[in-house]
Amino acid sequence: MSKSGKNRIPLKETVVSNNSQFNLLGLLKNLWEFRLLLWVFCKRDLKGRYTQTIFGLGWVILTPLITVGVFVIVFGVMVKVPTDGLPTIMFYLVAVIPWYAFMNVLNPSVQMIEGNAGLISKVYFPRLLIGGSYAVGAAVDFLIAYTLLITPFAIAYNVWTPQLLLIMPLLLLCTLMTGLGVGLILAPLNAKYRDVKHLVPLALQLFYYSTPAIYPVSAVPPWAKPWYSVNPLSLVISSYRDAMHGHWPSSSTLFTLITIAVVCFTAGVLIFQHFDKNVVDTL
Amino acid sequence: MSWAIRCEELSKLYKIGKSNVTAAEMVNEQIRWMLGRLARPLRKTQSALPTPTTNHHTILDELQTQDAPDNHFWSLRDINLEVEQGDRVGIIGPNGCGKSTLLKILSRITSPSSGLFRFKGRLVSLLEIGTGFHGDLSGRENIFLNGSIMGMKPKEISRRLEEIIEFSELGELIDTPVKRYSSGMYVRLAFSVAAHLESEILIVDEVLAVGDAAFQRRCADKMLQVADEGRTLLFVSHDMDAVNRICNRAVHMSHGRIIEDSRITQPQQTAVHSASVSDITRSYIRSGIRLQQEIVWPANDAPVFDDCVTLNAVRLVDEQGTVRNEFDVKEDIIVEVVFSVKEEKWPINVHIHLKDLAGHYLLVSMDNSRIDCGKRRPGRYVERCRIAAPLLNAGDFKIDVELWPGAEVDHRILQPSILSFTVSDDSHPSGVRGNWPNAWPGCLLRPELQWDVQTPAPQRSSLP
Repeated sequence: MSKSGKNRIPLKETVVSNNSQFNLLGLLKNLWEFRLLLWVFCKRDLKGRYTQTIFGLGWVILTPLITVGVFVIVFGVMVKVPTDGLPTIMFYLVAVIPWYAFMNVLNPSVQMIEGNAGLISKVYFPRLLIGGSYAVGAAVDFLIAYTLLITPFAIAYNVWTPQLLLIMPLLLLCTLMTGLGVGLILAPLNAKYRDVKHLVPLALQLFYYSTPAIYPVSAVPPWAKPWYSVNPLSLVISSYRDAMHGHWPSSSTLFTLITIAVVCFTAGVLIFQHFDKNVVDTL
Repeated sequence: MSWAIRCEELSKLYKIGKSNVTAAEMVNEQIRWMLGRLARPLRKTQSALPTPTTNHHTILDELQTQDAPDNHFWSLRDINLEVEQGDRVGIIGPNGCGKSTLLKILSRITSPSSGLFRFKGRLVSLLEIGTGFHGDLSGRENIFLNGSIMGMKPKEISRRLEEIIEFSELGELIDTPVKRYSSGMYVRLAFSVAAHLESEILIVDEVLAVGDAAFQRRCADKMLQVADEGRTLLFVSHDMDAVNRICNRAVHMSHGRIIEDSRITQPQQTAVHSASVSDITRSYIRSGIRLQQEIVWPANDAPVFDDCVTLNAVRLVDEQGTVRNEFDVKEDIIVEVVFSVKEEKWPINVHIHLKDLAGHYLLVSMDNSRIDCGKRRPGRYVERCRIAAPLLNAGDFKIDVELWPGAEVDHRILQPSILSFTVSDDSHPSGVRGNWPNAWPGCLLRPELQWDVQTPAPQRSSLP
């Protein structure tokens, strides 16, 4: 029809309005169209994070290693916190590394709109991808730390079990989905009210102390126990510790974990998509 | 040709004033607006709204806050626009008229408050410099980053990579992190990427102004070429020359509406139709200009040079000495400059610079063609310069007045654009016009040149 020979294939027509109905199929299509951007963002974040550093990627291992070192000295040697019969290093490694994965996805996603304002206010692309790239980045960091720290130390201390390896993918997925979900809920809020980014570290600190990272769940008084059976990070960390004793996580643990992850993630995506359209105007 | 972009009643509301209101205020406001809408349907009042004139000087006018909730205004109101494939549309208008909002909505950066738009194919926009660049990555890596943000596949980008680098003229700098680039270099890279990617629609905001003159010219050529390939171009600029050169359609926006369009495609459009792109750019340059035919300075506030020469008044007068700002093409225009000299010290020359509204100089005239340039004696001087008709075409003009004390000193009295006037054309077939009855072409000058016409000798009028 058209004059130029190039346009023989009818062009795809896109309609944009302020219709706020959530369209899952449209979103997935859109994400698929821009799938390559996910890798580009991941590469960008990775490069951005480690340029002008001497250790470069080494920080992926150094950060948890130093943290664990401090914990071992302070809580293991000085305070002598009980470790449920696990080697002190292992006890802290399986707590610190998943915790970092959670933080690495939650913290940047909360600030993803504010932090990428320059990009978001100038170009169109599905902004969920930024959050996705943080999740992928956190997963990569986790897997490196898992392979280079948890596995060798577990073998060295003779606490390696098949369970420790087999439950890892599920636990990682739940950790990331929960973290990303919460981040996606808070990101549009933070774009409008910057109070959020000041509150999040405080909340995370509180959350950290109510998570059995530096102490075992067995040391918790009975009245606080219910919290530890719904705190997703507590469930994740306990599952890793139990795995080193050769136990599988209980079905109720798995159910709670998966439910929380799915609910957080779905709510995050829905809320984020709802505010995404006009979020530029609030920046 | 079929359409490429089609906007239907596109509107966007923005908030005025502080951006953070308490939750209670927000709810209250929403409820009041909804009640207001129930009482008075939004659509009804709109048709009664007059089109705003271009002579408003404030950025917001009252039409933009009508029918809007409290503390809100319509940044865009009922934009109906259909752009055809391969069109090069220039969007012009004063600051705050909604150009950028329109482009932001079309680029899907923010969504419309009401209405919708459709587009066909892929849409790439270049809204500001450094769009989607990462400072730590090299120029080459950023081409890939930028390209993928605009929805291109790495294969497509690789195919065009050499072309992009060549067009940007960045050479070896392409492997340097872009945080070391100057803003001009940023624009070069950004435009090169956007222009070379295979999209059906390209949107370019006022970004090219940062590039140097040679690069801007190449960008203009590139944009023409882009349109030649059948791609559609939307171009926002304050550079009317660029719009004239590049665009085949101009849209003039003011206060969130399209007020003038060189092609009316939809029946519901309320914009004024203009014949050509240059008509619209001229009327845009003219909008907001107040003609000034006379300035008389009070004694204590007059422009003074060296405590010796004072400029007292400048004015435009006609043959009868009446001060006017509108002249016919056939009338002489007299520029009168009044100044006084205290002591015999400086050889003052009076200069008149005649410009069009865009600031292009048409001519400079000096009084030293008539008087010798010796030192001026004390006293009051009145000098008149006659711009004899026929010289100027119908249009608007400005005049700079300069009192020049000779080449030895750097200082002078210069009053830029101090006078302005309109020349109109009564279209009466006489004078320069001859018997030409139609609109006179849009040029700046219209002098009567000498035509030497050799007619063939009358011959036998016998055609077989």
